[in-house]
Amino acid sequence: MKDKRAIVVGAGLGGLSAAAYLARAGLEVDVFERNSYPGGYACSFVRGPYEFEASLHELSGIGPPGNRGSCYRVLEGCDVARRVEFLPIDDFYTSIFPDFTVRVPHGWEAAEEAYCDQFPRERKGISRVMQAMRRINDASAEASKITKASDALTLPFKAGDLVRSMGITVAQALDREMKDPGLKALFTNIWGYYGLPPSRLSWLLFAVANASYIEHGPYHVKGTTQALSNAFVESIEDNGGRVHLRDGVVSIEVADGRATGVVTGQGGRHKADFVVCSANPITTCFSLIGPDKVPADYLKALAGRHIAVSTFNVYMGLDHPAADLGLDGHEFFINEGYDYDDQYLRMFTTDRPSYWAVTNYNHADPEFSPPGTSVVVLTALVDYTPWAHLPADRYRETKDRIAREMIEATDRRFPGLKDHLAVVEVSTPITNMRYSGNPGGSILGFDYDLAGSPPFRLSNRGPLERLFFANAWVRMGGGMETCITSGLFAYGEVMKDLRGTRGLAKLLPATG
Amino acid sequence: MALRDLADGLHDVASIGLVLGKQMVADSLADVRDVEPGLPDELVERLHPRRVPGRVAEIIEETASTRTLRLVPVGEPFPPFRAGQFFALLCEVGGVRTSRAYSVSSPPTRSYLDITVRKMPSGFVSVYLCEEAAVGDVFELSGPGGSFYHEPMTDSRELVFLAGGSGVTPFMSMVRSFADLDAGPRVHLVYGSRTLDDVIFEDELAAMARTHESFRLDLVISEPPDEFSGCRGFLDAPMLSSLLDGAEGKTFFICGPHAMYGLCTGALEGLGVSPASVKKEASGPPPDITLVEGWPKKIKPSKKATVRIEGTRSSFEALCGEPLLNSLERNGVAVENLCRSGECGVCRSQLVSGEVFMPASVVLRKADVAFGYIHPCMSYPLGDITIRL
Ligand SMILES: Cc1cc2nc3c(=O)[nH]c(=O)nc-3n(C[C@H](O)[C@H](O)[C@H](O)COP(=O)(O)OP(=O)(O)OC[C@H]3O[C@@H](n4cnc5c(N)ncnc54)[C@H](O)[C@@H]3O)c2cc1C
Ligand SMILES: Cc1cc2nc3c(=O)[nH]c(=O)nc-3n(C[C@H](O)[C@H](O)[C@H](O)COP(=O)(O)OP(=O)(O)OC[C@H]3O[C@@H](n4cnc5c(N)ncnc54)[C@H](O)[C@@H]3O)c2cc1C
Ligand code: FES
Repeated sequence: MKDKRAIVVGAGLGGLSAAAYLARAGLEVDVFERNSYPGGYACSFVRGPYEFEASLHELSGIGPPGNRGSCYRVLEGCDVARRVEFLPIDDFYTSIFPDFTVRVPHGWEAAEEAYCDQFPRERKGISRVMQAMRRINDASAEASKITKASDALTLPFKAGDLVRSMGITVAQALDREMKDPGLKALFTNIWGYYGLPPSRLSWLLFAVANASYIEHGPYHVKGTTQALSNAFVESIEDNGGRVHLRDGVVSIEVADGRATGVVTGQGGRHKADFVVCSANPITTCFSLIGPDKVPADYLKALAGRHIAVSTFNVYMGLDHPAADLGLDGHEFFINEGYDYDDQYLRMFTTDRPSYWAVTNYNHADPEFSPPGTSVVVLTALVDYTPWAHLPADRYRETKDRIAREMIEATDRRFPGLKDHLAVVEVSTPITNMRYSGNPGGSILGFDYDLAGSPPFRLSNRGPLERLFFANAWVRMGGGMETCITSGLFAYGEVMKDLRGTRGLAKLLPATG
Repeated sequence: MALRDLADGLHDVASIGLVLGKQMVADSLADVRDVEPGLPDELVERLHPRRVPGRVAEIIEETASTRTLRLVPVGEPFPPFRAGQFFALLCEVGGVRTSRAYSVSSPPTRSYLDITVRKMPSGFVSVYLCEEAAVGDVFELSGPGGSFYHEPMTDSRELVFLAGGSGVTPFMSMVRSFADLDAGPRVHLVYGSRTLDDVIFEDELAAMARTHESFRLDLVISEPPDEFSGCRGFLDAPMLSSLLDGAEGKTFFICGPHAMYGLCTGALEGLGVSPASVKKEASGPPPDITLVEGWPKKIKPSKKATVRIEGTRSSFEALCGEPLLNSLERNGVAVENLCRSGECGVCRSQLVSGEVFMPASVVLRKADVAFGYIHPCMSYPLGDITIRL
């Protein structure tokens, strides 16, 4: 298939994964990335003696040998898994609320036990919710095997939970089963990973994504996600593809409603049989293609969706081990209250957040920073709108103020933290925009609301013939496992065009 | 369970869920916010433009070998920077497109950017800027870059600035901005120069020291006139221990010529200062790479090596003693860069075959070391090499 050429716009995880699959299938693959490194959000950066993970808190879908998750299988399928070392994280998360702290382990029984220990009177409801999550998870695995329309029609009877989950929010799913607002807040405390509070978040997405963590455990990448991104590049290049850095795509060429090639910032003009965009669909349509060449329906579909939130990160290098300051785990959520809607609304202001994660990277990898030191990162979800309207000269004071207030508040929970700061770096939605090109600095593409849950996300097929998307904005959605998977999907769509293949299962190796 | 399976299968049964979910979808569309597909690049450009032009509005002759180019914006205002940061100034000298990093010497509170350049004896760009650049010239800038600034969240309220030669420039921006704001930490500037005539900004610094109780200035001159009554010598251990009253609890900043870093770092260690409280500015390629620790002594800097660029027909001869980026540029190959000191990673490239020398000061990501990447601005070919840009 060397006579067919695919160009991939951007080296985010979605684009890298699509490129790796395409190169393995024998296409001639060129990836054009405007940054000097691959990975988009999946990268690291260095300040003094510290190297920081830019994004990853917990990677889902990896699992230990013998219980590999789907992300691992997708990485095996494009010959990346063997080039990366995955480090298990012992717990799922630790929630800190004003009145209680609960450590939630992974594993179905263990997690359920942790919720029940704190709320023994709600044991029944908790158990029913956990069972529903498992059924949704199993049914969606079943659903993937459906090949005949007649089977699809019987699915609602066999998998009522699954079908119902598509139409309800997390809050609706829990309301009947849980009473205490504290329990609901604890059970859903990881909602930040999915960008919407339980009152708006798709139950299907929550159930399936959480199941992936609970069943296979969360993981970290040795050497940060930059190692994962570099491994993708190595696989692409081993299979004859090329990743061109510092050479972004400035326009996508179109003839007769078909993508035919790209023009890059360094002035290259490249013809292609297929164009796969890691770059988001909004920039792709409005600036790389031009809205006049995109079908109006597609633009309308874009405008009808909501851009998910961005992040505010305080990256801290400490001259002291974090475990000595009480950070005896990997991921902690600090909550100032139990009202997630209130936490969400705060994200649309530049007030100090009331819900954020504290991540201790030395927990899963004691070699993460030099001996005697540690790296701790505070991450809050924030929306980009207040940042977009901030005058340039107020940018820094605003980000410094919020960072200081978050450090103060974290120090109240983990005393001593602020006396050990050796390096502090702060990122905002503008930083995210800069390094990913994503509107709003969104970390998840469009929202995971009911209209944006996996089955209803935009297709991996773009608005033009021979144009595809592999990123957070389309199916499966935002997050690393999902973006890596979107690359496989985009590849599957290219293959359909190329040789009419149906069904991705055939393209993947058997479970490892 | 596989998320990917979900999409593969569910997209066929999606219509069923669609019916059930329709009302909910409608509800959630009445969301709290507008959908603003405002293109991200426009917002980012205000803070981090890829390139910004600056016009030389004025040239101030500071010393016999040093001048300040006062740059004003041509269109959009310059992006905000922190006192102590640098910009890369792009230029074409003798037919070669290149750039150099220059710390801003004016404070961030002004609408212009001052770049203060000292002419290096065998320099390239600095000679051009000091001899040829004229009022009205327009230069492209990229940046700001660097982390050599005062960070109240981590630094002490007592700062000691150790400057040598043109390395005073980032400190000038910092002390000017503390004075402008009439706030900030206590600053002790110890500024070394070869002769009294080489001291840049002498009058302004002396005036600030007189009017600001929180600012102390010590000039150290290595070749002073006989009648000179100030400090004679270098910024070495005896000098620093005599000038500083105690080092405890202070944050130290060092910026100057290469030789100064070893001297000052050693002196501070002797005074019991922990490396975590010492910040050092990037300093570009050393004047003589063969003196840098780790350089293989058997290789002469004048040795020639062939550099091949994978995927192109391009190949050329380079000197082992010259940074790879410089030889690339001389041969017409442009590589985006910023600090030219091995620290920012903008020039990150892949070494496909052969061997290069990178000083220990080069900052590489762990994953980049593992997968064979280099920073060409501070990489020296030790023999024939092939790189991928
Ligand atoms: C702080 C933070 C924490 C996170 N934590 C987690 C977590 O714990 N677990 C998890 O699973 N996920 C997490 N995520 C989300 C995850 O990182 C993202 O959803 C995912 O990496 C997005 O991948 P993508 O394929 O959409 O590409 P992106 O990362 O968005 O990259 C897009 C790429 O395209 C390039 N590009 C854009 N336009 C062009 C152009 N015109 N020409 C060339 N190149 C272009 C960009 O430079 C960039 O490299 C986090 C994200 C952030 C920011
Ligand atoms: C962050 C930063 C901030 C800076 N701020 C300032 C500032 O405010 N003011 C200022 O004047 N300068 C500053 N510099 C230095 C500046 O960037 C240039 O390095 C300087 O102007 C010399 O450039 P040049 O082109 O004239 O010399 P180059 O041609 O780059 O050479 C510089 C010197 O190094 C030696 N050298 C370099 N390469 C070789 C080689 N291959 N073989 C042998 N010798 C070599 C030469 O002897 C020469 O004298 C800064 C540098 C950095 C990294
Ligand atoms: S230009 Fe900064 S590392 Fe090379």
